[in-house]
Amino acid sequence: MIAIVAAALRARWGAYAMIAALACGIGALAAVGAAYPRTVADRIAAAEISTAPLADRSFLLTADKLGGGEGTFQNLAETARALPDFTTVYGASFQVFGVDPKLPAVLMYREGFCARVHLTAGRCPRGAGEVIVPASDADRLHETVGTRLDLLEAQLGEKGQALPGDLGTQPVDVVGVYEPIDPGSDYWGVQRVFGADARLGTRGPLLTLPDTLGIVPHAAEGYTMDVQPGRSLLITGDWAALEHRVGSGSIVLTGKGLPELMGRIAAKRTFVEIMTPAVVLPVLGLGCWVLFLAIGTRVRADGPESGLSALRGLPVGRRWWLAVGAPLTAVTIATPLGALAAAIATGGFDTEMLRAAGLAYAAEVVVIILATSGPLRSGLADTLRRLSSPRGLRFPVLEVLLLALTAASLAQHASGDTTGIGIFAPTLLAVSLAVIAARLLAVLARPLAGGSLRRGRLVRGLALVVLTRRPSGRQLLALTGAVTALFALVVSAVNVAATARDSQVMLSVGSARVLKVQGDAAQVLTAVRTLDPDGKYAVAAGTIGTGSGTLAVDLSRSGLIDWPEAGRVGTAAGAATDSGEAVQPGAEVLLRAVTNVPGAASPKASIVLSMAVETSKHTFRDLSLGVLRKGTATYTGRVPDECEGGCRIAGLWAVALGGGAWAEVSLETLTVGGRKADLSGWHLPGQTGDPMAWSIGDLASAPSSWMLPADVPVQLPVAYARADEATLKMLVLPIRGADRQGTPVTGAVAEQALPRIGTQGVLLDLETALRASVGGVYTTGMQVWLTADAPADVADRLTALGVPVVGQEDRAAVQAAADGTPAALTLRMQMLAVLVALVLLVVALTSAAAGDRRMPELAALRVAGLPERTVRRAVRRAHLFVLAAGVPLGLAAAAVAWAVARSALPIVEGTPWLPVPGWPAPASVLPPLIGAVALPALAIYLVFAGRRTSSARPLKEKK
Amino acid sequence: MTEHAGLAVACRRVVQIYRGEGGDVVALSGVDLTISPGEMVALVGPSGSGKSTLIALLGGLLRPSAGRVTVGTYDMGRLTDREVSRLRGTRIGIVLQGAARNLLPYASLYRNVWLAQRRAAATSGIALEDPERVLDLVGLPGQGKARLSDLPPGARQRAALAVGIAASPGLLLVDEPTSQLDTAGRDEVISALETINAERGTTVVVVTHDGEVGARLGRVVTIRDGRVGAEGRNGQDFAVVAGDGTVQLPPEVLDEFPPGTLFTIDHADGGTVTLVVGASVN
Repeated sequence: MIAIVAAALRARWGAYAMIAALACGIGALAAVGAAYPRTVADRIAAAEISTAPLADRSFLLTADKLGGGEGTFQNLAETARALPDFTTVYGASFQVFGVDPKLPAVLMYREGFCARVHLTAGRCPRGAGEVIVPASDADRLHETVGTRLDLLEAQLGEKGQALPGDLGTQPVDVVGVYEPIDPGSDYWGVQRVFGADARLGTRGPLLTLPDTLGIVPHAAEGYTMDVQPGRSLLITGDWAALEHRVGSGSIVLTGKGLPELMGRIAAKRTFVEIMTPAVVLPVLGLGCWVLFLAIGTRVRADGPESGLSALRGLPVGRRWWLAVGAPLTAVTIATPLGALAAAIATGGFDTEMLRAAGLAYAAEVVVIILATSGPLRSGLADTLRRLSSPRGLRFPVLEVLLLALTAASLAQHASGDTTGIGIFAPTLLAVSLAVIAARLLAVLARPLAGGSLRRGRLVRGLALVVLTRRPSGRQLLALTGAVTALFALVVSAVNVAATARDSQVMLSVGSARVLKVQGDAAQVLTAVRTLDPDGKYAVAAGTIGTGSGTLAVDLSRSGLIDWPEAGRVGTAAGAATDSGEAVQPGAEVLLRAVTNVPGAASPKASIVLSMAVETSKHTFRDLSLGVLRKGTATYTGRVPDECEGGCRIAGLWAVALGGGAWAEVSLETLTVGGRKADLSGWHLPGQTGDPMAWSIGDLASAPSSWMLPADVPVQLPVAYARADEATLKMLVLPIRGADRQGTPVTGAVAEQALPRIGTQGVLLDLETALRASVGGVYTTGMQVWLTADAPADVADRLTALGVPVVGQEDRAAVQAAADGTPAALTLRMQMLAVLVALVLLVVALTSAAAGDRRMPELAALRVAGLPERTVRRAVRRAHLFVLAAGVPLGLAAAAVAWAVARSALPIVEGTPWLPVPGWPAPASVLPPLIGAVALPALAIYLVFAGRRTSSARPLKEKK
Repeated sequence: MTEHAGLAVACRRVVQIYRGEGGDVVALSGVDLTISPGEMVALVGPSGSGKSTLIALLGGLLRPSAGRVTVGTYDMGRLTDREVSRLRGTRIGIVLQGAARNLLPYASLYRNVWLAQRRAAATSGIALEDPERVLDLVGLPGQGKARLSDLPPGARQRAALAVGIAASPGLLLVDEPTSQLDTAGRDEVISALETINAERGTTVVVVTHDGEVGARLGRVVTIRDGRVGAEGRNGQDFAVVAGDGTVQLPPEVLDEFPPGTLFTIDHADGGTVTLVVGASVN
């Protein structure tokens, strides 16, 4: 029997190779689908670990006594050291004087330190009384190998300061000078061993052996053990297991960094594990379906041969083996090969892959049995006749099962449960709709077949007969619809997810590159405008206040901001404009004003009047105009030298001295350098009204008051996040030195989200904010936003301009990180799965097209005189009908599934700042869909183009 | 193989009705036929007369709608499917019309014959003839490794016969073995059938349109309108009295005496029966 099966395989290798290829693909997809969550989750976890600070990846044991018994540091340290897959570093230290005349240093032992330092001179300590000193101290203090240091313990004073102790000194020898090989490496632990000092440079400890620590008299010593779980432990995200392992040694973990890191890893792992099968399993189902069709086609072609074994009275077992032997052999060989290929591709084989491949194989065996059982169950006469008898209406078991599954998944999805069968809701719904619609369409189109034949339209009529009357036609239609639906669903999800991710990245970064710089708003604004005077690539920005909700951006360069709304916001929020001419240094200032002083709380009370000017470097200088005098008076001052590049008049400032005071001042004229300034539009902060009536009241409790020029808006126009309207109403920009005054903001334009802020906060012009606060705006986290074509040396040039760069954020890196999130990676796997489904569809269509051309009915028609060309065209058209009808069916099914259950697809994680698009962009989705249709259409064309010469082969065989 | 005895065949008032979507079709309407063990019989008749249906009934491919079909001691209508299957694997050999329908095209002739012996090998435990010997019997010596596509049409048909007799059946049913064959091929097939019958004593029933085949087999049973219409033995034609007493007249007689013609029967001594036309209903 094996020889006969082998002969069948040899003789029909093409057909069985295709079945083997299908099985190989199914095995590979199953294995990859099983491996993907692990490999991707490992990658995600590794990325999470690599970006986590050491404090989140480790924990620290500390004590000031070693002890020796249960629960002591020594005991705990020994326990921690014995933990498998943990890295531990023991250290001991205390502070000493004797290295720097004024500053204490740390005398430290850290196990294995010699391997972690580069010795610029000398050697590592070998015994008691030997130390190595950091190179920075050695250079600064002229210490070198051979220097003797008299070390004295530093003790803490009452205010926490280090004071020389009273236990006496101990001389030690400097035997080496070192530089840490990598001061930031995990080895040095979470406590900063090396610190940067602006004046002294990088500072580090005196490193020595425990014996030296022992001989230097000291009263207190700190003991530490940095304990770091291995990558293999962290990557699991299994905090409970880690805790259990550590807890077994009676070590209590403190701090949230480590559990939170593992929690994040676990959540991402779970996401990938849950979401990957959402499309992979349905595609595997489709794969089995295609396998069923392919084997069914083979079985129909081999039907009379199956009858032969019954004709010869072979026992059922042998008949069964003859029927299934060849496909079973093909599948048995190919499925493990596919899984093996997947293992090689994913770099390993695990039990999950083995299990998935085994299940896929079991499913394939079931498919083979189902597909071959027809002839075994049919009557012998039917089988021998080649033409199957009509069996009447059969109960559609599979369709009903599919519908039941779909209903269950939709119900679970509607309940909000994101695990279990609910994740299959969109795919099952799409497939179900496609299958049901295909069945209905086949029934509805049946009359068309008869009508076409009656009207003499043979090709169309026969095509419709093939499509609507044969089970394989209906199944192909359903398969095409299902694959199209899955493809459209996943392509839509990929498109929408990419759009959402891009928007999020664009908003969260704000520009192609963002440099984080040191300096205040004026410094950064000046440096950026000096660096890029024409406003081609750099924009200054910064956060106002200690929160992160108010972002000030130089909106005069809004065109450089990589945000579609930037132009609109720039116009609406308004960049600063100058209302007057610049004043020059040395120019005389003459302010004529009429003052009415209703009274003073104290005889010593006085009000000092100043004028503020803004330099070209956006710094603000005050020039005193003298004490406010009752009645009409002229106040004089002189523009300071800092106004060399021209200054802007920034406001008038009244400061009460010596107690409460009241005054009502009417400004008459302001002349600077002989030019009269335009006082129209001058106003109190946040108030419109007569600029000539400056009421300075209750200065006792608010000892200053500002009158601002016209180029400072009465209310600051801001762009605000729509969800944060309440904050908008409360927001007032404080003014330098004026506790009670401030410039309120007004919402000029509402946005869903703002760059780098998100859905809570406001965005305003940086220069306007500086002016409105007369330089008093408190900015943190100053940034320089750069366009993609900014020069590479911007950071260096900014540093040269006095604005050092302390960090940067790269949009490409953020984009890459976003593209590596579990949702994005899961969608990538799902895209691969639907591409496999597309290939399966092509295989199914081409094999069915090739098989249907040899259908006995059609062969009989050819015998009856129907031209071969007509038969060929009819079969080709039938398969084109399958595509033409199946694709719209699939698209419609996908649209319904998308509308009903798209939230079950892994489109985004968390809550993006902008709403996720409800539907994909047609321009993005259409090309892949057109490609998906063109591929099987081309395959069908090639099947018929390549087989024109092999007409009526089965009939010839019979002669 | 030791059991070479031919099987007797008996059909008693066999009726076969096909049920179809467009209504029932009566294929056989009361066939009475007896075939002795080791006899060679040709079933002839026009297309649709029921020849192939009769052979399907004899082979257990169909169950009679009414009447009784007996092969050897087996009442084919009363056997279970499993018993019929075993019978086909051991005692009844069937060769379908068209050689290709009897052979696995991808397997060698040797494997085809070997496969056809499996039921008998499993059931009887009797040593079966070597497939090469079986092929030799039908005139295909040394062709064991050949495949169907390697053979000329006549040889293909003989290969089909080899598969039919692989299990040394007592009854060999052959459907149109010489259609689409040239004269030489036809003669080879008939010779093979004669050899099988002569060497093994196998009862051979052949459905054919070819009068020459009938002449060579000795006994020719004509099936007409679903029943046995006539029989020819050794070149002489006979009308046959059916179980219900009816006699089918030959077509040429029917042309002269259309249906409805009334006869009187004059039964003379010596077994002579004379039909005297009395009147016509028309």
